[in-house]
Amino acid sequence: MPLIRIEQVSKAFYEPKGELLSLDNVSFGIEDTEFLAIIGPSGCGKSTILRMIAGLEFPTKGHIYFQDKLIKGPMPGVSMVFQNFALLPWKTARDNILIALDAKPISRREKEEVAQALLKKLGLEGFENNYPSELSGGMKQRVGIARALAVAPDVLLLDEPFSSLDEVTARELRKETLRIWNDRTTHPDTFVIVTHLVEEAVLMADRVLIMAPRPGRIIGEVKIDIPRPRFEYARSSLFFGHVDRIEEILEKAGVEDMKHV
Amino acid sequence: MSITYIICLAFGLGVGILAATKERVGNLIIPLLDILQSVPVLGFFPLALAVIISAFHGSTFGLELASMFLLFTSMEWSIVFGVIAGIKSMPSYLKDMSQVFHIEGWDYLKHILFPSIYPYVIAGSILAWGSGWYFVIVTEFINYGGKTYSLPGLGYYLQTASFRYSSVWMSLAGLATIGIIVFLMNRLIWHRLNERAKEHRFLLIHGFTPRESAGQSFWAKQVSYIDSRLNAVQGVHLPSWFLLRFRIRRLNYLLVAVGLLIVIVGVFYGWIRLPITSLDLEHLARDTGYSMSRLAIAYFISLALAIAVGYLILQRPTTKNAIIIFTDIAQSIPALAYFPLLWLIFTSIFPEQIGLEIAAVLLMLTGMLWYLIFNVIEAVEHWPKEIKDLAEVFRVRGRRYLRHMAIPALLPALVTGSILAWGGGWNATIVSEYVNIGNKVHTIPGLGSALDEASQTGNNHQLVVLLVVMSTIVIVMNSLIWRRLLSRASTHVLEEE
Repeated sequence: MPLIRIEQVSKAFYEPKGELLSLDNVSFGIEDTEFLAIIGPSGCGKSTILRMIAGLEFPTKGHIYFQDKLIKGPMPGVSMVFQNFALLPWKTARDNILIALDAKPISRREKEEVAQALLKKLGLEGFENNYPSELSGGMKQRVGIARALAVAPDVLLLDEPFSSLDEVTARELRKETLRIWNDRTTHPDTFVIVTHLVEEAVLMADRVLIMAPRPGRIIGEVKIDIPRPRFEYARSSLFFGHVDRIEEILEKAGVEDMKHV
Repeated sequence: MSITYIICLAFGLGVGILAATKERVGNLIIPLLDILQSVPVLGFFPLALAVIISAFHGSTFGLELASMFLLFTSMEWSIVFGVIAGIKSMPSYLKDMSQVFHIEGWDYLKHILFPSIYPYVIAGSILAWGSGWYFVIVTEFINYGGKTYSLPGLGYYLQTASFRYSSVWMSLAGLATIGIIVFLMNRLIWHRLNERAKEHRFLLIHGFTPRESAGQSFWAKQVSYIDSRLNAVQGVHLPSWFLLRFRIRRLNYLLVAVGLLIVIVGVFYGWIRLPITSLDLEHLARDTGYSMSRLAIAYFISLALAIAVGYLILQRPTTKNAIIIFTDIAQSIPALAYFPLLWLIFTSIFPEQIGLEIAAVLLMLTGMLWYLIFNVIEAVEHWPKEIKDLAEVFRVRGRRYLRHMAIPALLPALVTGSILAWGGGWNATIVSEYVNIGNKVHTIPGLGSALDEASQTGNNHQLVVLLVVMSTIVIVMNSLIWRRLLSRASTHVLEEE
């Protein structure tokens, strides 16, 4: 039984011009310890799915289950990394991490310890007391990731986490993210990433779901069986074979505006 | 009022363009305008009246001029600051472009500058008319030096209705008329201009953000209309002016303030030749204390209400529409218009002094509340979605939510709202502490009533002193409290990228 089940989910938004089907009858499962990527052009509903798994939005039709329980709102087992970091500008790096532990029934000291360990893990030592405005984009997202890990979730949701970073920084953080996923001794082990970069999906995921817009739907699925660590294969024909398969599916569905967004 | 508006517009464009394009001039003009706008307009009035009436020997023309002058001082600032903020926020590539293609002089104004600042001018005008309506009521019915001067108009009607005849029905009718006029003007004129203004905005590139709203219902339309007005007003409103203020050094402020003081004192002691008499300092201190405490009470009630409104909207977004509609309607009726009514009600329920106190605090409240609420609503509106999600994902709720997220995030809005609120509050003291009904005067002690008394008896000397005191308090508060809070708040601005 998959860890997360999305069953015949549809989502409609109401616009002045009329109803808009953001998602049309979408079903899939996410296995425990899996790294899943959801890819598609803007407006295909990929972020909406992620937000529904986080319990931030709800399907108009259909159901989503996490550990066999219907998702009714945000849960302790699911954490999230945001595209624009979502850091509070009036709090230091450490305090931004601590805010995630606010609801946890542990002592202040334990919380501080968790935060300190994560700051270290993500290479933020020496920046604990810096405010977001004093951190680079990559540093900010490191804080965002540390905060998401602080609650030791089962599932980590990543909503285009590297799209507001420059390519060099993004590459570093992809490596970091994969290292965290690979480390089975600590939670989380199940990752879901939403992206519009085909290469990013192929580099990171076990499996890629491909979506198309109007109405938002799944048009294909590609299993990525490239041995890990994949950075060694990033220029191989094996790697580009996978990329091409995904591009083909997108092209066939008439999605052309993918690559140059 | 319309004539005044046109004068304001011309003046605003002229001075605004000058201040914004010539850096040297701007460094002096901006602090000057800033100080002038933070001084309670109503405090100025009796003095202006004294000068103008004496110049025209009490003729109606002089009166009209005085009334227009007061309206001008109430309407001008938002337009000038709108123009300045508009020019300052013009993208620099526009300037480069016009230089490359040699677009200069009138062509530059007509094709580049005016269209770019159009939204700011419209938003400034909306604000200007709002405060114009507030003051039109006082300007048409003036007591000075034991004589009553009146100009035919709605303000005059309202004041006679309640104060001379103590008639609730007559004042209700007057109130309804003002309400309807304001509402219709907002609807027919500003809304349309505003819609057009949207096309002129730069950087309005929004992503794909479907909104869950109830389709095209009547209420949805109302809300989207009010939303667009709020947005327009806010565009000019605070953040941009305050950024402007920061760039100007304190020294310039000080110089300008001292200069103004010398001019005012010079005019009144030199030109009008007032005798210099001794001051009743004890009296002055007592009055200041009374007024300050009333304002403080009104302010803290407003602050609590504004935070409550912000919290409510954040927690239950469905209440937003109802709140916006309510505040917009309530705010569009000028507070001064229903003061007579408040007065009638409270003095009939409570003993007179207490009734007066309550009515006075309430009027100050209405002079302060809207600035705070509108700023808060606006801040909540632009609250980045990710931050909302963040609170949900990590289950930050209740008191902690208020402490760690809501209040710090609302701080910039609360501070900017507070500055305006105190300005509005001081104006309200002048009308709320002193009521003249059917030839009987009812007062509660305070700076406002002292000012009224001085103008009633034509005591120009006292007027000058009181005005200086009041302005000093406002300026000192601005620079000691608000400026500091503001620089702290500026690090709290949440940005949606």
